[in-house]
Amino acid sequence: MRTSIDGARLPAPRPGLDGRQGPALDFRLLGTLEVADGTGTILDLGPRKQRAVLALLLLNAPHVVPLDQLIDRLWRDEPPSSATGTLQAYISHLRRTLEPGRSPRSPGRVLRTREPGYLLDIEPDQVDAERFGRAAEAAHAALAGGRPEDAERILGPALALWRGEPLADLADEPFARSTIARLGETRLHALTVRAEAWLALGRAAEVTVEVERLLEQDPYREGLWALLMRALYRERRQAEALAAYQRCRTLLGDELGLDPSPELRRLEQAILVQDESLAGVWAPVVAEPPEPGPRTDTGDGIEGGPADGKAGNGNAGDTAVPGLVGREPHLRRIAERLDDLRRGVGGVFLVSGESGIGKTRLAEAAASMAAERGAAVAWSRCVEGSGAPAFWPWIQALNALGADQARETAQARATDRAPATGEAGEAGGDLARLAHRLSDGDRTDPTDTADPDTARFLLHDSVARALTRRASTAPVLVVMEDLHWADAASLKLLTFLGADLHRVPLLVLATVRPEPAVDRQALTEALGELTRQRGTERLAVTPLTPEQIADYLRETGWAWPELASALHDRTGGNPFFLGELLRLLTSTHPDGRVSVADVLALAVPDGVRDVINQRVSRLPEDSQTLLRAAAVIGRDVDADVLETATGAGGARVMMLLEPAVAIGLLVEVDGGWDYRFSHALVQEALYFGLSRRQRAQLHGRVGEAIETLRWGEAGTRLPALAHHFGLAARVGYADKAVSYAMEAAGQATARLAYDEAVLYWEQALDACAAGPAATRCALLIGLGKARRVTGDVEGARSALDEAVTLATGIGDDAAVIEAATVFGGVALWNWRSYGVVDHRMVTVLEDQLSRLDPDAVRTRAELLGTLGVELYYGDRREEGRRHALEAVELARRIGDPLLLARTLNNFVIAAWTPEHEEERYRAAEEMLGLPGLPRATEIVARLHRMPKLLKAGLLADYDAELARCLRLTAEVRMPEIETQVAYAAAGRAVLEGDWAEAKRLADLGTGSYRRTSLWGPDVLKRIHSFFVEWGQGRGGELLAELVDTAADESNLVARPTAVLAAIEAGDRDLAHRLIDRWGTVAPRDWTWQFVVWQWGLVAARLGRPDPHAMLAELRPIAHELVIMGTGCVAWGPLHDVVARLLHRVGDVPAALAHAEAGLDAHRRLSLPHLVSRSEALLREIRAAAEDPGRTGDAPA
Amino acid sequence: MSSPSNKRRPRYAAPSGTLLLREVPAHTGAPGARIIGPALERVLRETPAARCRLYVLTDLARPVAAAPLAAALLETGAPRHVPRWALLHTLAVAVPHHGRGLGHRLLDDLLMELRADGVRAVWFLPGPGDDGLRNLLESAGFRDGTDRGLSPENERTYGYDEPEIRPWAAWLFREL
Repeated sequence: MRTSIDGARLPAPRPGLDGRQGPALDFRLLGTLEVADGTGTILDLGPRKQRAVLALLLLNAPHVVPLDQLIDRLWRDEPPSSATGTLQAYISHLRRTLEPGRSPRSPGRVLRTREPGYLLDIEPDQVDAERFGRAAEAAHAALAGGRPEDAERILGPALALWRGEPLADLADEPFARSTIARLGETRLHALTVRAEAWLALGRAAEVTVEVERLLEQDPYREGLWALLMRALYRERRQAEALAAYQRCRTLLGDELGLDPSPELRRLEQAILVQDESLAGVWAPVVAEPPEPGPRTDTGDGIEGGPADGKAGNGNAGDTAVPGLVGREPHLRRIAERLDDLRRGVGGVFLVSGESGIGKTRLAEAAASMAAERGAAVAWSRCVEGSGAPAFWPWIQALNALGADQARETAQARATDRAPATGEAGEAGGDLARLAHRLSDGDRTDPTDTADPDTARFLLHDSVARALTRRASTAPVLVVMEDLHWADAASLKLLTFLGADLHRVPLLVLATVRPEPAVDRQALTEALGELTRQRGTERLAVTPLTPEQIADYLRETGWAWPELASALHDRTGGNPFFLGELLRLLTSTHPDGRVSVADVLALAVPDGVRDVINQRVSRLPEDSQTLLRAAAVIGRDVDADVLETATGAGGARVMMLLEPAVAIGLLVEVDGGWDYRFSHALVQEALYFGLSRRQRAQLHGRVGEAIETLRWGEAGTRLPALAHHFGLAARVGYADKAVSYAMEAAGQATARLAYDEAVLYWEQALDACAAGPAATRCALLIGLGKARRVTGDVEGARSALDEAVTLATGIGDDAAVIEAATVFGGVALWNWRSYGVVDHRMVTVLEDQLSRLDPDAVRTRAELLGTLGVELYYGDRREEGRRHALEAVELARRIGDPLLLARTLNNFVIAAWTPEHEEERYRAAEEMLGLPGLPRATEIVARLHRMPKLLKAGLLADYDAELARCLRLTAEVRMPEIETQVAYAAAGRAVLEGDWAEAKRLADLGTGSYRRTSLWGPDVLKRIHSFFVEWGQGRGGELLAELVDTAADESNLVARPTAVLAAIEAGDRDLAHRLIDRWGTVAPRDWTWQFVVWQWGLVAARLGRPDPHAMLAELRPIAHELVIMGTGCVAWGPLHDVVARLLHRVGDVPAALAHAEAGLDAHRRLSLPHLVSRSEALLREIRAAAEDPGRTGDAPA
Repeated sequence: MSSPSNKRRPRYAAPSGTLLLREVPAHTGAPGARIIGPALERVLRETPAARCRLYVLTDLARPVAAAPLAAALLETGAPRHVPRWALLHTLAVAVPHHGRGLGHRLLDDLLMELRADGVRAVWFLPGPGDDGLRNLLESAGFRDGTDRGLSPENERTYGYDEPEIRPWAAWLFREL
């Protein structure tokens, strides 16, 4: 919670004992301001203003004095930025005076900086006034306890603390006046107590002298007159005692028009009748001791929170006010205070917090809670500036209450249960009259009293009495908004009322900002006074936590609670900024889909930036400069970097940044001297206030500072170096920008942060825009490789194409080869779009091969392998297979396992035809046997080996492999692999008939698929969806999109699927037309078995393609389970389709045999959904066999 | 500050300033030496280096090697003690940057620095060509040193080890 000069209840946390160096300082204000160090030496406190700063801090110790208040009180006439500088200089020097042994870079322990200002962290005993106040209290207690000798003994040394008038050298400072007056009062009280003690000890003669002396100073104190009378009486000077009474009566009558109090009159009577009791202690002179000192730690601060349990349960309903997320404790406390009203206990309840924090929302909640409890609620607002009349908030409140009361009375009278006009009606009229008096009556005609103070007292008193009467009929809540803008008169009235509210059922709830605005002095005094009153409490409204923001988002129906922490970071938990930001986000994202990146990419709203810039402009210019440099460093500011980058010394940096800490722009990081911007918004507002040139230069300086400092491991600095030099590339740091970005890219790759690596490569290229071709070429290759890893095939190809062009241009064969062979790296699928051959790349590869040094075997292997893959989709596929095979042989000769793995992988892809299944399987086996295989390569090899297991029905083996791949995938974090493994699992779920799981996994796979630019996410997703539906006896509804997809030549694989969908939809004509249009090709590539299966299904239904031809293809492999590619879709053995085809062509016995074989297999594999399909098929064939009329016809 | 404060002054040029005052070791090759001119060499010859202070106003948004925009040379009381006074030997703005209010800016920062060091008074002895600087200082609250400046209460409370300055009349003086 925030503390302030007046309202604060929380003392600063005590520093550890180790923090105290030597004996404590002694602060003395009973005389001129003095500070003595542990040895008793009086310190030089410097010029007057510096002493005034110290005095202000001292009077409020150990609470924070806001920086703005210090400036307002001491430099009201100066522009804030230079005043802040002056103040800061004094603070720095005071700190050196008070703590001479402190190292200049360590933060102060006595004079501390804490938002929103500064504080003296001292113990009460270190202040003479404090010690005196306590002694006075103790003496009073001793006297009251009948120990006058103790009282005298205590007071002797205490009174000796007085060296003169309190704060004599600062007596004309307005801020000191009330303290000086209070201390004078305390002293008078102490002297009175001493005199009383003397009287009790029988030293009446001394008392008469002393009291006469005191009366010279303050003749209107009736208590002193009484004491004098009693002392004279004890001295047997009755006549003088009675004369004293007459003197007092004359004085009061002549000067004030008053009579002596009844007590004094009774005393006179007692003397006249020579009352026995006068011999003893009679009527204590001072019933209540005044405030003992400048400090009152009442100790009942709000932080203790409400009593748990009993209060909480009863008010559960109150806490659930919608839209007030995170304010439950506040609401609970307010509810308790409102409940107290029923017991006749009111008070002043201050709700404090920065603007936008939600004070008004709380006040509104309080108002409705009060209304629920039957309390009268009056709402008033203070107005900024001087546009409103004095007492404005009170006028509003009194008018509201008066009208309210009049209405109530009228109603009561109408229902004839009015308390016979009586008090209530009178109070209503009172209130209205008073409101009128406040608004102008008293201004034009200052009543009959000449003394304005008395007049004010009378006015305040009548308001108090009227409100008390009003509250006696029903509890009252007065809400006063924006108290920081209240006029001085209203504040005085509030403090006047506040004194008695703890016994009146009236609660004033006022909202106030911690940094006072207009008329600060009055506000500060009022708040200070209020805090000392019994019924006052201050509730700090703090920023929301990320959890609370998440709750808020959920509660208010925003669909993105996962953004809570990003939003918290942006807004610092300020509900207002949060609201502004959410408003902005919805306006820029009408579709309602917002990502963390969107939140982070958002420009700071202008209003917020302006607010921050205004705050910054109040700081000294050098502080502003340092803050701007700090903003370039980032949200977290390393002090060493800032020092080195700016060339300012450590102590100076600290001094200059301190005001920023004091006003809450920066916070000090615990356990060091680093800083952090309190809001991301603050840092950004400062940063974007700089021109591009300024930013670039500063980034360069920061980069060099980080370079020079060399803290930590080189690796940890790389991202920062790449970042800063990258942004400084245009102002002469291009070389560093490029080299650090390259290093950072390498580091990111090593840490599997491939996306970051791509960003670093792009950044390096950007910095190198005008650089030499050779460098650009190297960067493009790095970028191409990095993009390839992230699955951005298109981006990789464009970078590598450019690299090849550049490298060819400068005749750098090595670079050409490096760029051209990137796509020969280990991969599961052929990276080219289905059916595409890049003839330029083929030419480049062949050209390099033809010119290659015969000894460069490794390079030859790489080129051949890559070429093999590149030739796959063309007429030269078989040639490509042979190239890949040669590459494998070369690699075997070299004996490098990784090269061998790579070429084997080339071969597996280049040879992906039905004919070479066995060789591919063996190649994958060989890959898996190689030592030191990278994770991704292992996954790829396993996935290549797995289809054969599935086809053979070795599901247990297949599942074990799949499980391992899924595990490994989590370690690899490449979207391409994630996609492929997720789809393999999705295909397996199709086989199992677990449709929901199949759909879930396919969605997962499609998600990562879309993060790549590989061929096929749409077609794969649609085919998969179709078979999920088909397995459940549906699928027709996907017809339109399948037809659409399959129209594309590169989506050949989906054509039979589309025809099947047409049949499912019952549109046989369309099915025929599609076959007319597309034909029924089944290319002998990786899709063959899957495509031919589907055409077989089509043929069994439509008779096209030729069922006999399909049988010729399918019968030899009837025992194989169906699998698409690396398992994206899987189905039972081909027996079923063969049976259907045989049935179609009229070979019932063979059809039955295959159908039974299928059924057996399905039973053996425990695939219930396929078992029932097979059973249905068998029944169908048998039924048809018994009914020859239907034989040969397609099932209905 | 008990002396009159400097109120209205021209605003500095840049909207988001990146100017920063820095203290640099005083030697003839120091940055800012060219702005100070021959005075630097003279002062260094006559004064112990430990008592010389050279301040430069730099722009963080200019290359690191760029020359400062303005500089000031001072002499203070004995090192290792709280210096109670400072002598301003010279304060100058580099020619290309005249007219931007940089003299004010430098002086402002300088006074804050000195104040934070506990310096109570700054003195300056104007020479024949120092009219511009004299105007600047006077607008910043420097006054004629004839009345020996120190306000009674400072005089009363604390003794000063004032520099050997005679005659008083010619000096400009500012309490901090």
